[in-house]
Amino acid sequence: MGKSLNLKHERQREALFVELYKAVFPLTARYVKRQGGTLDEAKDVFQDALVIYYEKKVSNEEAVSNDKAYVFGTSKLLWIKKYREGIRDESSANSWQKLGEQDVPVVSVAHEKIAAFLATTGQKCMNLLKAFYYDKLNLEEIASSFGYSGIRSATVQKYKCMEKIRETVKEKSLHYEDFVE
Amino acid sequence: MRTSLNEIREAEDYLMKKLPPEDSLLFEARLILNPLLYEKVEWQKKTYTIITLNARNEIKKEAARAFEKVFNNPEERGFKQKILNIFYKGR
Repeated sequence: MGKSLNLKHERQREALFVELYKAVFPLTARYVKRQGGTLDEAKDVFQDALVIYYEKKVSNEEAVSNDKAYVFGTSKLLWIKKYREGIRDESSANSWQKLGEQDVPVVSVAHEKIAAFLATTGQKCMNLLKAFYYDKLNLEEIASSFGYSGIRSATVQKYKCMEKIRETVKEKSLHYEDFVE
Repeated sequence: MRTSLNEIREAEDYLMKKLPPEDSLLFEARLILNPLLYEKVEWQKKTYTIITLNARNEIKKEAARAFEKVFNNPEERGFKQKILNIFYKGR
């Protein structure tokens, strides 16, 4: 499943997510129901499992040998961590960390607030930075997707965006005391 | 590239462990000697965290939209019925 799809592009990602919902979500739903959970909880952990699955796949295509089993197993573990162990108020990222994902940074409320702010005001730069650092597009793909003349231009733009967003992160953090450690 | 952008590139290479060991040590020495550079690198580190968090929120929203797409598709009525039966049958 998903072998022929390029997950770095939204439309193809959606096609794979739809496929996984059809094949795996009923299993997760049954599991969550048996454990006394709700439909909303099943949806929540399944969405988080898809995020983790996506990150694994873009980091290393071969890291997941059985897509359906991986998503089902991850959603089960997430439900146990997030709901059964009584950490319902924690953000997804922190639950993932408890799941043993090594590279998940600790996320504070201030981080969440700044991310929400940037999602609306710094969208163009955030899209470019997401494409490079998270979706792992190479600079050639970025130049082509974002309409830059070439790799050099995309590289300069990437660092300009980093400079701009870093400044915003610093400015906004002054409003949130707990952000400064 | 202008100096400030080169500094960001260098900080990125350091944070992502892409510098050769001797350059990494040199950069660490500069961090000790230059508090302003240290501060910038710390903010850059936090910025990567924010980028990841923002990206995860985006992917989670996409996943939620994919669910709605299947759940509300008349051609996938069987899927919706199956899910509703799991949670609400016998109530």
